[in-house]
Amino acid sequence: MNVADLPLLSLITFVPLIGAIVIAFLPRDQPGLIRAVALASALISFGLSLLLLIGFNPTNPAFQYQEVHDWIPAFGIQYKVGVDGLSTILVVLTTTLSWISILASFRPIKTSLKEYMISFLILEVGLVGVFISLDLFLFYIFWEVELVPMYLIIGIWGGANRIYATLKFVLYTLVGSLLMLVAILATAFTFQNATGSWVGAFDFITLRNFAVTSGFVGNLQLFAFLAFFLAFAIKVPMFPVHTWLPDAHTEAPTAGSVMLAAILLKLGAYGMIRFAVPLFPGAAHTFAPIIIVLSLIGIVYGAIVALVQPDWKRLIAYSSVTHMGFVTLGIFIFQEQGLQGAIVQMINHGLITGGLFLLVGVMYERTHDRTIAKFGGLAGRTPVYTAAFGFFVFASAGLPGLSGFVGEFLVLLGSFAFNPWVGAVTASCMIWAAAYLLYMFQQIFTGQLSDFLRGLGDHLTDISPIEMLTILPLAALIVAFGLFPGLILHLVQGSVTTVLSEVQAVSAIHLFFWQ
Amino acid sequence: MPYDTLIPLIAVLPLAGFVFATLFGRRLQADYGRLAAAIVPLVMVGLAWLAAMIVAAGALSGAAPFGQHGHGISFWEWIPAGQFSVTVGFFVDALTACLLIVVTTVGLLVHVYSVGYMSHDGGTWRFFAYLNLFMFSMLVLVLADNFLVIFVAWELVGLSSYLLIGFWFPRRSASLAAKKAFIVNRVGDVGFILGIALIWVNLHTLNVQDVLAGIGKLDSTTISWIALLVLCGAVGKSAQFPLHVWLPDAMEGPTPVSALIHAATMVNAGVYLIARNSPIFAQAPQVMVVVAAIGTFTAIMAASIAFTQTDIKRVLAYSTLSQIGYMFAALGVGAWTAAIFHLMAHGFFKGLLFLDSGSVIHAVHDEQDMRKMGGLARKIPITYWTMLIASIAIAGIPPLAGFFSKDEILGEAFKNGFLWVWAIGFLVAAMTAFYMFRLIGLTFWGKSRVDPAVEPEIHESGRWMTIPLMILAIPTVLAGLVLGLPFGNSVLQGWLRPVFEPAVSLAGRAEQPFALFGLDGVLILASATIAALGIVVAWRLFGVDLGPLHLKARLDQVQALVEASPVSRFLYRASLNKWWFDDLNDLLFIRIGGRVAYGMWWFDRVIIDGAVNGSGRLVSSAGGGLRRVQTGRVQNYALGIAIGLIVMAAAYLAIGAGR
Repeated sequence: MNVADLPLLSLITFVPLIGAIVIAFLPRDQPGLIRAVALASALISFGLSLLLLIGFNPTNPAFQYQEVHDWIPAFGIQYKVGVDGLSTILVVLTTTLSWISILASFRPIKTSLKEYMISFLILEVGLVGVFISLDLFLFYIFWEVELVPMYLIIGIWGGANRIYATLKFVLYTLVGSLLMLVAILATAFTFQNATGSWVGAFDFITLRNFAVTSGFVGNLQLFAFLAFFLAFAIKVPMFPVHTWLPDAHTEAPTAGSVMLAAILLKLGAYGMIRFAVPLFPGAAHTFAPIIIVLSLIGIVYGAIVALVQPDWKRLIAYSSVTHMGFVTLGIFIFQEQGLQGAIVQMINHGLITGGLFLLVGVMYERTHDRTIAKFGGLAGRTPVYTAAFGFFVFASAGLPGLSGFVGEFLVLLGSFAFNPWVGAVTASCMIWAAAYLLYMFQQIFTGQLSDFLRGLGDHLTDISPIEMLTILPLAALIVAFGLFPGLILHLVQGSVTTVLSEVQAVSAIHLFFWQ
Repeated sequence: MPYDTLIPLIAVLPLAGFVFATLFGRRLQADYGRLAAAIVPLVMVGLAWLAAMIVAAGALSGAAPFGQHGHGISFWEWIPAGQFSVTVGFFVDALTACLLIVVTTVGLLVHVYSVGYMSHDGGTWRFFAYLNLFMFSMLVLVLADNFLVIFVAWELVGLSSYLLIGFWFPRRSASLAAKKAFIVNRVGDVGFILGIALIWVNLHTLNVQDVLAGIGKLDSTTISWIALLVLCGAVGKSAQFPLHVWLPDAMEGPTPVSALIHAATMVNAGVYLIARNSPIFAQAPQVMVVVAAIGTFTAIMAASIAFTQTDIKRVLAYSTLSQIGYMFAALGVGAWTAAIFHLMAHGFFKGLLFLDSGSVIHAVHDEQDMRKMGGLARKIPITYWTMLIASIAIAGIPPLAGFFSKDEILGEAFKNGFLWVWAIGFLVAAMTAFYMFRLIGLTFWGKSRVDPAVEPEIHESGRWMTIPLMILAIPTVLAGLVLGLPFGNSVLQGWLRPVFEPAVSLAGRAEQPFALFGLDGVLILASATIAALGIVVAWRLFGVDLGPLHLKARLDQVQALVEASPVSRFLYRASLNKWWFDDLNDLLFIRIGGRVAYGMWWFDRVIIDGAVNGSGRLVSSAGGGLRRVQTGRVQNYALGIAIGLIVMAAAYLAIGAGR
C-alpha cells in the first residue's frame, strides 16, 4: 500500500481517539503506562502531521488530502475533510502543542490521571477535526467535541475558582456556537431552496462557489455572518466578549492554559478566515469597519488592562486579547499583507503564549502561587529558567529576529496601507507590550529574592530537563520562523490569495435597517 | 579574503562569540576562571575589528568593488509576503566605513578594558556574552541595506542595552533603569516603524539605496512625514529631547557599557540614521529645522544640567546628550560631514572619558560621587592624564579632536544662515569646557575628600584597563589633525563627499570656499577663545593643579554665585532637578497613566463582565420559574433544543425569503 493512499487526515485526527480508548481500558494503578500511551498516541499523530506537511503541495491552492464519505445522504451531509496551507499549518501546530502539553502534564497532574489524559486526547481530536472539516455539519460536530474535554480540564483539574471559570467558558462558547448552528442550517436550507437539491448543502466548497457565483441574499448574509462571527469572536476572543478568557486562562491547569491560548483561540480566527468571510463576503464588508474598530480597542485596551494585573497568568491572558486583536484586524482589512500577518500572528501567538504559559506552570509547580507581588529576584536563583522566560517575554514583545515581530509588522503594514491612523494605533502596541511585559519581568526576576521565595528553600529549583524539553521546540520554532517566515508565508500564500480574491470581488451589502 | 566574505564576517564573528559565551561561558568560568570565559568573545571582536579595518580601508580608498558609491551584498529573502518582500543584505560605503572604524575600535578596546573592570564580578561570562550581542547588533545596524533590517538591529541594540543596563539585576534601580531605557526607546521606535510603513506604501521597496534614489518622486508632504517619523526613531535612540530621559538613568549599567553603548556607538545610531537618509531630509527643509532645534535645545539643556550633577558618570551622560545635540544641530543645518566628524571624534574622546571614569570609580572603591573624590591626580596618573587630554579635547581646545569637529559644526551653522544654532552652540562650547573642568577639578585636583578607610588603598588600575585608555588617547589627540585637515577640503570630506553629494545638491547650498584669514578664521578663534574662557572660569572656581599652575578651589564663590539672585537660584534648582522632566513623566505616565489603567480594569470587571454575569443571573432566575419544564431527562432537553433550533432556522428563512 502506498503512503499517498493512506487516509492521512483521518489518521492524524483519530489516532488520539484510539489512544484515549486504550487508556480507558488501562488499570488506574499504572500511571506510567497511561502517560506513555497518551504521549505515544500524541507523538504518532504529530509524526503523521509532519508527513502531511512534507507531502503538501503549496503551489496548489485547492484542498488536498481530501477524503469524502457519505454520512447522512438525505441532507447531503458528508464526512469530508481536506486541507489547504492554512489548515495544514494549524494542524501541525495543534499536534505539536498536544504532545508538548501532555509531556508537561506528567508531573503536575496527580489526581484522576486516566480521565485527564482521555480528555486531553479527545480535545486533540476535536481541535484537529475543526481544522480539517470541509463539511459544515462535521465542522460543527468537531467544534462542540472540543468544548467538552476543555470544560472538564478546567473544571476538574483547575485552580480554586475553577467551577465559575469553566461554566463561564462553556456558556459563552455555547451561546455563540448555537447561533452558528442555526446559521449553518439556515444556509443549508437556503441552498436547498435555491438549487432544489440537498447535495452539497453542507459542503463548504460547494457553498463557497455558490457564495461567489450567485451569493446568498442580503439579509440572510447579514444574519448568518453575524451568527458565525459572534461564535468566532467569542472564541478569539474579541473585545467586548473577552471576559471569559482571563478567568479560564487563570484557572485552567498549565497544559489547559497552553492549549487554550495556543489552539483554542485560533479556532475563532480560523473560522473567520475559512467560513465567515468567504461564505458571506458582502456582509463581511458591511461589518468590517466595526470589527476593525473593535480590534483596535482590543489591542490597546487589553494591553493597558494587562499593565495592572496582579496575577501572573491573568496578565498573560490579557496580552492574548491584544495579540489576537492583531489577528482580527489583519483579517478584516482585506489586504494581502494584513491577512498574511494575521496568519503568521496566529502561529506565533500559539508558540509564544503557549511557551509563556508552560513556563508560568513550571514556576507554579514550585511555588503554588501566581501573585506577581510575591515574586522577586528569581534571576539570581534560577538563571536558566530566567533566560528561558526572558526569551519568550521578548518574543512576545515583538523583538525583531523572533517570530512575533513578523506577524505584527505585516499586520501593521497592512493596516497602515489601509489607513495610516489605524496603523498608528496598531503600532502604539509596541510601547504597551514592552511596558507590561518588562514590568512583569522586572517584578518577578530582578531585585533581591523575595521573602516568599526565600521561604520555599530548596523547593525553588531551576527548570528541569523535561521541562526544558517542552520549551525548546517552541523556542526553536520561534527563532526559525523569525528568521525564515517564508516557511509559513509560502505555505499559506494560496489560502490568502483565494480568500482575498473572493472577498475583494464583492462590495458591502447595505444594512437592511439603513435602507 | 574577498570583501564579500569579510563584510558578513564583521557581524557574524561577534554573533558567534555571543552564542559561544551563552552556551559554554558559565561552565568555562566555573572551571577555568574568568579570563577563560572572556577570551572567545574578546578574540571574536578582535577579528571583527581586523575585518572591519580591511573593509573600511577598501571602502575609503574606493577600491573595487566599492568604488565611489559603495558595494552591497544580499543574503536571503527574509519576509516574502506577496508584493511585500525584504531581502537581508549589507551595504558598505564611506559612511558605513567611518562608523565601522569607531564601533569596532571602541568596541575592541572596551572588551579589553572589561577583562580588567569585570574581574571581580561573578557574571563575567554573561557580561561578555551581552557585549558580543551588542557588537553584533550594532554592526548589523550600520551594515544593513534595508530599512526593516536596520529596524531589526535597532531593536536588538535596544535589547542588548536593556540587558547591560540591568546587568546588576539584584539592584532595583538598575532593573528600573533598564526597563525605562527600553520603553522610552520604543516610543521613538513606533515613529520609526510607521515611517518604514509609509516608505513602503509609497515606494514598494525598503532597500535603502532604492528608497533614496526614488524618494524624489514623492510629493513634499509625504517626504516630510517620512523624515519626521524617521526622526522619531533617531530622537529615541540618540536620547534627544524629549526622549532624553532614559540615558542618564542608563548609567546604572557597568561603566564599560556606558562607554561603549551610551557614549561611543549606540546613541550615535540616530545621527547615523539621519545622515544615511540625508537625501530624504534634504527634501524636507521644515523637518531639518526641527532636527536643528531639537539638537540645539538638547545641547544647551543637557549642558546646563551637567553643571550641578555630582555623580561623575551622570555628568558625562549629560555631556553625551549635549554633544549628540551638537551632531543633530549639524545635521539640521545640513553640515552632514561635520556631524559624522563629531560623531567619530566624540566616540573616541567620550569613550575614553567614560573608561577613565570607570578607572576612577574602581580606584575609590565604587564611589561615584565627586564630592567624595578630589586630589586623585598623583595617585592614578595614567587615568588622570588620559582624562585630562580627553577633557581638553571635548572642551574644543586646538589641536585636539573636539576642536576640529565642533568648530566645523559651528562654522557651517553660521555660514548656512542658522545664526541661532551658532549662537547657542557657541554658548554651549563655553559651558562644555566649564563643566568638564569642574569634573576634573572635583575629581583630580585639590584636597582629597575620599573616605579615609579607602584612601590608603587607592591605586592605578591594572594593564587590562590602562592600555585601552592610552590607546584611546591617540585618536583623541590626532583624529582632528588627521581627518580635519586641510581646512575646507579635509580628508573626511573627501571620503564622505560622494555619500552626501545628493543631499548637498538637493538643499541647494553650494559649498563655500574656506577662508582661514577671513570669516572662518574669526569663527575658529572665537570658539577656541570661548572654550578657553570656560576652562579658566572652572579653574578659578574649582582649583587648578596643572604642572606649575596651582590655584586653590573657591567653593565659597560657587555658593555665592548660586545665591546671587532669584534667577540664579532658579537656574540652579532647575539644573539640579534636571529641569523636572523625570517628575513630569512620573506624573503623566505613572500616576495619571496608572489611574487610567486601573480605571479600565475596573471597567472590565464591573461593567463588561458585570453585564455578562448579570445576564447569566437573569437567565438562571428565569430558569427558576420554568422549573416545571426541568424533567431531568436528556431526551426532553434534546427535543427542546431541536425545536428551538428549527424555530430559529425558520425565522432565518422567513427573513431570507422576505427579500
